[in-house]
Amino acid sequence: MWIVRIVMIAIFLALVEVAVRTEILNPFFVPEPSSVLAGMASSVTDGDFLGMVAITLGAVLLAFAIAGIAGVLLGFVLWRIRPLGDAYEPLVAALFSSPIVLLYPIFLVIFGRNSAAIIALAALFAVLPTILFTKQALSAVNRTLLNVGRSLSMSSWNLFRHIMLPAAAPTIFTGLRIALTYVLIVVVAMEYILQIGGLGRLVAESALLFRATDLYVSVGLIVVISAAFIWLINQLERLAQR
Amino acid sequence: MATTTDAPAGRAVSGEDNLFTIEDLSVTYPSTDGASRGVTALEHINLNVGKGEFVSVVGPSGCGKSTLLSTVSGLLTGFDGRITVRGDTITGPHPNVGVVFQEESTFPWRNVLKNVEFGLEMRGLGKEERRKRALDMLSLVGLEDFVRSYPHHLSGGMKQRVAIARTLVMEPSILLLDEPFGALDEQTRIILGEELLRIQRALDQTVLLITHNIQEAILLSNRVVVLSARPGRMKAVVNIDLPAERDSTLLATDEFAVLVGKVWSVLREESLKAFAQEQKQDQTNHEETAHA
Ligand SMILES: Nc1ncnc2c1ncn2[C@@H]1O[C@H](COP(=O)(O)OP(=O)(O)O)[C@@H](O)[C@H]1O
Ligand SMILES: [Mg+2]
Repeated sequence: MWIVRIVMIAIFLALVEVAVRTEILNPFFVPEPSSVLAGMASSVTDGDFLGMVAITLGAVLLAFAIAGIAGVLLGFVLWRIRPLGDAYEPLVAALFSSPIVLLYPIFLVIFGRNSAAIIALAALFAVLPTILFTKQALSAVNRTLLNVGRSLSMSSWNLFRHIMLPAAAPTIFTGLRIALTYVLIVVVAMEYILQIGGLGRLVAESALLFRATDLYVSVGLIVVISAAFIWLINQLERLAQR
Repeated sequence: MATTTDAPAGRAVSGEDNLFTIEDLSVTYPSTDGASRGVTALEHINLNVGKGEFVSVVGPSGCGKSTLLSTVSGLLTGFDGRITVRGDTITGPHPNVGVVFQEESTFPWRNVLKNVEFGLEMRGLGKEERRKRALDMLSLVGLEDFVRSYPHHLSGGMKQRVAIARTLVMEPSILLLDEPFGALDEQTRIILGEELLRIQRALDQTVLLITHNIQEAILLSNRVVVLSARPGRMKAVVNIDLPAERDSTLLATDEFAVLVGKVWSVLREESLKAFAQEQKQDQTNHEETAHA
């Protein structure tokens, strides 16, 4: 499976490479994939680059951790305490579908023009789907599966750990994957717009200065970060279903 | 109790070998809107089941069969009357009681083997031991080739066999089964029924089986309880005086046909009532919708 994926991507990149070298694609807009890959590889040893990667990675990690932990806990509370769930679930759902990113000027005023503002905005945006999906996942657990556990006289903790959690995991982790997407979008977009921080700023700068290779290197690194997080989330999901 | 056939009095069931007893059990589900009185599912059920006995319950759909099973298994606690298991009054699930549910109940995140190991794992049994017992049970229900499969790759009947194996592997002294063969085809149903009977004899288990299949009830049981249309009352108890050593060849005998006739005559009447109830319900629903 892995081999097939890698080969498919390699074929695509090779086609682009040929297209750029034969100038079917304008090298001014599309750099050669080989030089982008070389750039990504050398960025690992380039202090400036690494610094930017670290800033973006740190912001994504922090915002996602806050949103993930707070979201799952709040979702659990909304499920556990019925009146709270009835009262707040519609509100969370309404906020979820509204463009909270546009609140960014307020966050700048509160936190200043720095990474903290970006992390707070990303976390707020991403916590909503996490709450919503966690609450719905727990409410939707099949009663019969719980009755299997209850008929075995299982303790409340074991019921939760071995039936509730694994049964709810697919939906909770769908929420977490959406949360990750939000965090990445908000962090990179804010870095881009505000011209502060890491890879998002680099994308903006490279675009402004027509440095196509740097631009694609930055985008490539963002994709790598995203893939790494998805891998992490998948591992956590497996753990929950054990 | 309107006993149209043999009363259970013929059975000498003294307190000692009663493995479980149901005394004057009535169950009313509270209404959700608080306006009406709620649904009375069962009324005045009395049943004594002795050790090693196999009792089946038949009745029209919606008469409270699953409710009966929920109360005996300790999962439903809001009822009037008393249920005892080995002399203990039931207030919650009992460790000697195993349940197979009517609805699909396999764990989708566990493969077949790990599903069957579940209860043993929760009781803290070692890996080797529980694996061995689960594999033995899986070959008994004919799933030895699907040990590593996940439930979503299995048919409804196979999933139900996994659920049965998961309960049987715990070797409960009392086994409660709610239409366990409902999703199976006729042949598999008969063969698994015979298998269940064999296991029950071997482990000297006490079984309460809920079914909508009269043949199955008669073939497997010592007694068949017929419930009335909702609210479920004991309409009749039919003693099955077939030889203890039996198999599905009995299906073709005259004796068997007589028993089927006996059960069916009661059940038919109640099913017609249940059917009329349902139509009336539909009609009121219809009128309510029309008014709204
Ligand atoms: N949790 C519940 N709340 C309210 N009514 C219920 C509930 N469960 C079952 N009932 C009602 O009780 C009656 C008996 O249900 P059930 O025991 O499932 O019947 P059966 O298994 O014989 O088909 C039905 O009318 C059903 O609608
Ligand atoms: Mg039922």
